[in-house]
Amino acid sequence: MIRTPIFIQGAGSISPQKTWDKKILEEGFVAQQGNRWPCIEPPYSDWIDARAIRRMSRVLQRCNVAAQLAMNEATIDCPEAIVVGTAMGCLEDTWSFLSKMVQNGGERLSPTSFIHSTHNTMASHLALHFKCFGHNCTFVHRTISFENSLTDAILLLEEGAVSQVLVGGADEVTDISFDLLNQLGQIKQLESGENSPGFTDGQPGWIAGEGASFFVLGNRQTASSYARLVDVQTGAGYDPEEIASRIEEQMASLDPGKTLLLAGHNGNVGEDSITDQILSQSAPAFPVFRYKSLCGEYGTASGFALWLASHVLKQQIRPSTSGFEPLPSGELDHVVIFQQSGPHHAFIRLDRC
Amino acid sequence: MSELKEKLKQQIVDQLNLKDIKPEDIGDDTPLFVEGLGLDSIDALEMIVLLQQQYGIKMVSSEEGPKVFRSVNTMAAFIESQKGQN
Repeated sequence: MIRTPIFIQGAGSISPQKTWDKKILEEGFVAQQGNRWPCIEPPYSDWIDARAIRRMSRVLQRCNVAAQLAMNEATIDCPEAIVVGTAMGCLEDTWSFLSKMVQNGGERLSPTSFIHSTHNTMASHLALHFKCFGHNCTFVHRTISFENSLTDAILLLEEGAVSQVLVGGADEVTDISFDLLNQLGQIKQLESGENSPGFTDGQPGWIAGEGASFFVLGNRQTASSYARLVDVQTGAGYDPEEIASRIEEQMASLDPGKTLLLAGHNGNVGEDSITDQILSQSAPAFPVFRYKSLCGEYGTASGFALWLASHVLKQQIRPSTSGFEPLPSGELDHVVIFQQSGPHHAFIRLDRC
Repeated sequence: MSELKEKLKQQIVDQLNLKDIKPEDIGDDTPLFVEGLGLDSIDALEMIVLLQQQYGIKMVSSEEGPKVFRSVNTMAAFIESQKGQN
């Protein structure tokens, strides 16, 4: 449990849904097709100066605008610290740099794609852009990268080193990465125009998603605050029963009638059966929504889940695959995000504030 | 020389991804850095790569940079002077 009060003061997300536009709360979600769900992009040039945008790959543009959305809500121009999680980093720039290295025999390499090919580009790019000279770190820890960036931000706030932190998670899918994942048999086999099967087709493979979600976490509740961040835990281990016992402990104090569980099922029958086994043992009475049915699978998809959870608690709305349903005020007090992938699992708890 | 300058302007726009500038916006004598096009040190590195890639010219002295990259005119003159030397 987090030792001091920490609030989500602002949230911004670019995802395969139109999450950058507040109208999404009324207009709802779009039904994606095929096995690769690209982000619905905002007009980046409205947000980023033309001279600055020319060196940014798409994932950096997403990070920048998602961060601006969160900072605008929190009414800050510059955060005191920046922490970002990414599973795969800036893939487009990495590919560009490596392919030029091969083509040109290690010579005549573009400095821009080199600079952006390193994983710590994400947090450092934001620091340069917003002129933030504070703590700066990018965590690259596979599917718990975002949770570990949250943990770092929480430690900073608990220690009193800062009063607010910009924290986020971002990953992109590129033609090359999609092709490689497809060759490895990771992607669900669907035609490009085929309707997505709602994550319950009982087949192997997942749908490739992408996105960037950023939050301003602060040590005081403000008018813009969405919710209180109560707990972030990560763990490693393959035994579903052991994981279930850990989750059960966390869920014991929560009322199922006042709690929504956002679960990280990704549509891959093998992985989902493990998640089902864990949740049926640890949280059988809790209502579950599968958040990746909106954003697809990517290493930092739990950032999208935190954006969703923030709105659910603040607006008192329940998500469905088509949009949000209003709830009576005070109906929901807690949202728990759980995801399990390979050897890693993660748990995030938010409370209404 | 005139053809080389036009080609250089297009290459600068492409290499530096200058989204809001067209080649014809760049004057032959327009300063490329600071008060002119507003290019910076990373752009300078990109221009060095451009010379290597497009013209096979390697910049060996860092002192040459400010003179060579002052404008399209100075770049074109440098390329002409290096013909047959690399």
